[in-house]
Amino acid sequence: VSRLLTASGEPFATGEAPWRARYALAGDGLTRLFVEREIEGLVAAAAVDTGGAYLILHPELAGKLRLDPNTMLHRDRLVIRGITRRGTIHRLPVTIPAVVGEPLTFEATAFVPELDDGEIWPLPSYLGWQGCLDRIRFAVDPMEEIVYFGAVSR
Amino acid sequence: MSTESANPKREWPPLERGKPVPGAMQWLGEHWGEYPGEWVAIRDGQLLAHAFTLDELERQLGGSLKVALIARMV
Repeated sequence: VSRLLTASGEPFATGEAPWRARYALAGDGLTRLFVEREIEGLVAAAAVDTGGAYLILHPELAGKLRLDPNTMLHRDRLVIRGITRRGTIHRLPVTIPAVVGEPLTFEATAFVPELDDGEIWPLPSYLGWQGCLDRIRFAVDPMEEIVYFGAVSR
Repeated sequence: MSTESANPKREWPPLERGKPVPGAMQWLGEHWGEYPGEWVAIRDGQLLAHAFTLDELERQLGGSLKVALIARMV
């Protein structure tokens, strides 16, 4: 499938998937755009956050992925929706499943917040801009609730 | 609040890789506000399980989270 074309005639998007609007937090006044994303066969919903950085991986989900210690790049501190937290930075393959066309797999920089004992992480997983969404092409159709996506060719 | 499986007896085959989970995003769009604070597992437009921890959700799903779309409700 070829959806949209760049000025040079190459396909902008090679796949499409549904998105839905949901509240990311209890008490939120605005909804966020959620899409499906798959990491190592585990499919979860994630909020698109072009104002944020990295793939923010919910710590419980990260625990289920049993991340290879070799994928940890370093530790960092990040402010996520007003919450400042230390965590670990990883490089992970992320797949956006496609209902039409081809799924897209790309390498994303992921941040896994570190929690205190018994603490529950209140935020969802996010697909942020730097290190994640800036590695793919995507466009959103708000009428049909479809997101179009494709690889960035260099 | 219940931690029992919404669909406890059925075994679910692995998902088709690279394809969206059937009916999952639609279910999430229609059921926001339900099961606050819980993890849910959705497939074929149905709620398969819900629980406050992924460990419990995984148990309800027969030992694998990779048979449904997983989301945390708010």
